[in-house]
Amino acid sequence: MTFSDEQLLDYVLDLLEPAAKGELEAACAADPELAARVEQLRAEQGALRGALGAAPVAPSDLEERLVAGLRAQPLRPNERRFRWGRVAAAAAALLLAALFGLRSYRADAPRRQLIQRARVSELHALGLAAEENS
Amino acid sequence: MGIVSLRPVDDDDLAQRAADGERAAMEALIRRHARAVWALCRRTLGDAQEADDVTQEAMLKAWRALAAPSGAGYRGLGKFRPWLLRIAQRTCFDHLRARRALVPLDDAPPVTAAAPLRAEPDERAALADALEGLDPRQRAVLHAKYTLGLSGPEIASLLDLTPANVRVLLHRAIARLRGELQ
Repeated sequence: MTFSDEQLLDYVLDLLEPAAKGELEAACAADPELAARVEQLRAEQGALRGALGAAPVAPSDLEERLVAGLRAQPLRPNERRFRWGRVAAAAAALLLAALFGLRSYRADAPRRQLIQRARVSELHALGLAAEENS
Repeated sequence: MGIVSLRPVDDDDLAQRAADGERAAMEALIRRHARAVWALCRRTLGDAQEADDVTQEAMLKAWRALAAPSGAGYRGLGKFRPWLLRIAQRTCFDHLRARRALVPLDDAPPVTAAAPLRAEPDERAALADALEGLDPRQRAVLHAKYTLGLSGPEIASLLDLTPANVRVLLHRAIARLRGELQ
């Protein structure tokens, strides 16, 4: 069985399916020349890891600048919506309370009139009693 | 006497607190992951100044996404860094598209066959230099493979590509490096 350069590269990149990987490993065990080609590609992978393994080094003040940038943001959009939402909810609650209070005040008007009349009568009676006593 | 927990705060805890509007939690996440994000941006974009700008933009996007009411933000599962790197990678590609510096995958020039690279120290330095001449997607895929040590499916997720596209990109990038050095 022959293997293309692409298949061998897939193997060292760990991109082969398990079945194909097994076949290739069995073939390498029986074919030193194939095993040497794979070994050459493995060495190349080592070179790539050696050259590219270290990440580019960021400026020393990176974190401070990023945090400063974050702090310069006034508010997140959702925070702003959240606050306006709270203001709107508070205003709506106040309005409802006022409407409910007004309605209750109007509904209570007959009772208040009765009480007022009773007080007037009481005062009137008290006035008559005082006159009789004098 | 109270018990003091010495368990380090994990990313998911910080992400949840940042989502709840705690700015200090987002700052802690930035301090933890800034260098990995910057390195990815620097490799993809090929320019340190632009990497600064895109890293800042990506962090702000992440903060907004964390608290997204739609639930489109981070979903936990201990994978904050991959999630953040994906935001950074997309932001890099957006910048490259805006200045028409991102070649569509199918338009990449064909590569000629060349012998594998050797593992000699002087070739390693030349390799790092040759990397700068590659296409941004090729630089990104090599960074994901050799710097971050990701698997094929993880690279596909990071770059928003299919595994088949990742394979093609890796093959082309390695072939380009071989060609540059021979």
